[in-house]
Amino acid sequence: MLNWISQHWHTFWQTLGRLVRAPISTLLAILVMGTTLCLPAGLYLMLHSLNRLQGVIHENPQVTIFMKILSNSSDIQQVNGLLNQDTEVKDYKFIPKNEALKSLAQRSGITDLLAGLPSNPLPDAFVVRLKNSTPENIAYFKNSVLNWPSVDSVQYDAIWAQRLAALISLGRNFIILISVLLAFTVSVIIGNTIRLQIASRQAEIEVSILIGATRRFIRRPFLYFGALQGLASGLIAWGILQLCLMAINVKISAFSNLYGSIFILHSFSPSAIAVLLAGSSVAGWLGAIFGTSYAIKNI
Amino acid sequence: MISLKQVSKRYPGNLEALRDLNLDISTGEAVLLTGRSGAGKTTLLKLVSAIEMPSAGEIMVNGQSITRLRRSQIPYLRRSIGIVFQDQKLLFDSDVLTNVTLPLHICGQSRSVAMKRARAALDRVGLLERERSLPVALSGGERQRLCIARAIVNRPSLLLVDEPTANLDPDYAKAIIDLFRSFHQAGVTVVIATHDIEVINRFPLRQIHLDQGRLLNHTGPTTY
Ligand SMILES: Nc1ncnc2c1ncn2[C@@H]1O[C@H](COP(=O)(O)OP(=O)(O)O)[C@@H](O)[C@H]1O
Ligand SMILES: [Mg+2]
Repeated sequence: MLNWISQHWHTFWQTLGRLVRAPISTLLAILVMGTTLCLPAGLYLMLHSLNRLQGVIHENPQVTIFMKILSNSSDIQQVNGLLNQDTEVKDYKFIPKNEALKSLAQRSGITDLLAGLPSNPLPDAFVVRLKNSTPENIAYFKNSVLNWPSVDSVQYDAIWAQRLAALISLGRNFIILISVLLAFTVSVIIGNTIRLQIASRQAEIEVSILIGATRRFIRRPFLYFGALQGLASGLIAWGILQLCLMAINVKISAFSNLYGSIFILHSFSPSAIAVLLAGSSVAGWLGAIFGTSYAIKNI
Repeated sequence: MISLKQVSKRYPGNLEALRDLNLDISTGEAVLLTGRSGAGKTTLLKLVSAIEMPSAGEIMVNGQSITRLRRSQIPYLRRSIGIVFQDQKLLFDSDVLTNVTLPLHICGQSRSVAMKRARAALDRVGLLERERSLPVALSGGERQRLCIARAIVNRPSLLLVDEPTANLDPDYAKAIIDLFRSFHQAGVTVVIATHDIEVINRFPLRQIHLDQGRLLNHTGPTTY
């Protein structure tokens, strides 16, 4: 058993050495594969960030209920009571029209103009947060609120949220598809480099088989080589994307006062890195299996 | 050790290299496989080491039937045989020591054991001080001794040698023949295929003489 481990360890180091001393063509292949893997991994990052954004919307889904301009305090009391009773409501806040006007005046700097108005044009409003804020739930809540007395309108970008959710699930499928396709591409590229390597070491392999090497023994270093090549490609993809993220986020942070931090692109989680590296290694390993079984059969 | 029963070998192209061969070589015996070029000597050695399969007949090596051996068992059979190939089959990009450790790596020996045993084998053939040389830097006789070191490094009980003295000066040839004699005296079964009269004269052994793939005489020790 120990002997077996030391054998594999030996092969592993030998292979690593071979990779380090690899010809430029192999290094270029790794670079190409790394860049290729940037596509699904980068799409994943964007999706991941959108997902977080969706999470933020879900956590703070604000539904605004605008009262009719002419509603009086008893109407407001009534809506207040209805909101109080509604089990779907997590919490809510009343924003009287005076306050809304004051805030508008402060933000817009058109105090004089507003002061010149004969009456306050803004309605009273309630800002409501729901316990369960799936798009369906919000739509349902909106419809019921519209039937309440003195309610003028209810505002919530339900359609936008639904589109985001649909986009994310579409994107997820797209990423799975494109990852499988590109992993296959990586397998084929690695399989081919290994086929060429075997061809260049044909004499050595032939001799080894003649003096008692099993096909498994012949294959082993090439399988390691394939997996290491895949792993290196994954690392390169990770590195490239990490650099891109840093560059993009520096730009975004300049606007962060306007939009808040939710638009920052998030970097890979440890599990996503693990999936990327494991996936690229497995793709390399599989490519090596194809490459070796094709090439060694002919010896 | 080796037994052939009605063995024939037909290569693609319908050329019959061996015809209806019956012979036995016992354990610890040393024999010469003689016959002129093209007689089928190399083919016979290839059949015994399962590099080629017979077209007909039965071959037993070390109690195992070659024809009934599963494909996956062939490597293990070959590890028990030391072969000196007619065309040497050395790794020309690797140094002497690496060439000799190759069979040990294949058998899964650890690096340190492989080094130790490879040096012992090189010492046996007198090549120890050339361990870092590449095969191209060796003389013909040294290269042949390197092949022998690789063949014996696994301590095989059977040694198959194909034309060991081809292209060698008589002095070198004598040293090589003496090496095989010492392996034989140590109990190894040795089969030497040769058409070199020098070898045949120096090594008075039983001869298996092939002529166009047929066994001609199957005699005891002869002297020419
Ligand atoms: N791989 C092969 N394919 C076809 N014919 C072969 C092959 N190997 C050997 N032969 C033929 O078989 C005959 C015996 O060859 P070989 O065993 O090499 O003879 P020897 O070793 O005695 O010189 C020769 O006629 C040779 O041309
Ligand atoms: Mg021959």
